[in-house]
Amino acid sequence: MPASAGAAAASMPASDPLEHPAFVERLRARDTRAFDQLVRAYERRVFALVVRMLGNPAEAQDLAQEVFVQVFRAIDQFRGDSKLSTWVFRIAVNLSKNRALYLSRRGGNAEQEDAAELGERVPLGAAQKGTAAQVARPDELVEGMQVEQIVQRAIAELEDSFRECLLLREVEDMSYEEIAEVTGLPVGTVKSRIHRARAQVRLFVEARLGEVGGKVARGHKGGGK
Amino acid sequence: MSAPLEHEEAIGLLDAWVRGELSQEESARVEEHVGGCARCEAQMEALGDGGLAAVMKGGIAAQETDVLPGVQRKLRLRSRGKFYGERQRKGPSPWPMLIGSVVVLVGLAAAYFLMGQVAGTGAPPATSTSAPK
Repeated sequence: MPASAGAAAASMPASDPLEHPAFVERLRARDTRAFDQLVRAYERRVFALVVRMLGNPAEAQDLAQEVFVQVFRAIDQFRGDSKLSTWVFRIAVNLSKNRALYLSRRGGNAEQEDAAELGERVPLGAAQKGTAAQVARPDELVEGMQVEQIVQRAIAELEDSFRECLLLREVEDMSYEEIAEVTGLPVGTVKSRIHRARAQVRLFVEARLGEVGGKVARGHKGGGK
Repeated sequence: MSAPLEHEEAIGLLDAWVRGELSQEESARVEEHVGGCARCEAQMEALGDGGLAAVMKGGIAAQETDVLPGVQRKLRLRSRGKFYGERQRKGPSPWPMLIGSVVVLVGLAAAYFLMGQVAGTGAPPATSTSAPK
């Protein structure tokens, strides 16, 4: 972690009650009420991050729980030289990487691939079955329904190190400096990975929208004859 | 002067450009590219004003989650009930209420027994005092 970033975090006034030293002390004393408060405050954000990292909601639910179990067990190791939230996200990122590696070795990420493929197939299937008839313009169906699914697929295809930087930036709204703290990378590397990740996602979206748009247009020409 | 941006490079800078995060020089290069690029225009249209961030957040917002009960269960099991144990989970102990109930029942039984004793011992002396007359 860059020393300047740590010092900045340490000298920052704790306006958020969860960042207050007294709250951290309660966590260290294993005060379960304080811990419940911490989980409630961060559960959605941690889940949002790990579900994007793993691409599998069931695994993500389990992993998000493990993140907080780890926080509870390791809170004594939190030195307070960064924000508590940054420390929690660092644990989330590390556990996500380990779990993704485990899943890829086990070959058990078929569910993720299936889900991503389903995201691509459903709108086209729906169009063929006539569901698209309820939508005035098939291109609106493509734009509205599919872009989110195509983006999800594109994110799933990113390299892990690119994906984590992009998610922390786009979903968590973290600054480049905060992302550098969480990932342990230099700020310049973080910036470059985010730009490259965005380029890869957008090029993927461009290619898929071109494909799907073409198929829908061809389907309509065929249907109109 | 810098060379014009290739599409593959410009597309990675679109989000930062829209948010005004680029330097003046970078911004001018992206602007110059986007002005004459139909593919970039299509991208901006497909992902909207919010860009990638809005699309990514939109999908996540739809996913509900409740992590806390699972965390509590795992910590209870792994700490063998030291944290989030039975007492914390089920509320106050039932023992005080049970002991209180037993004491009340014993008291009532004792009172019934004593009243019976009093009623039983009160009658005979009345007959025994009237007998010598």
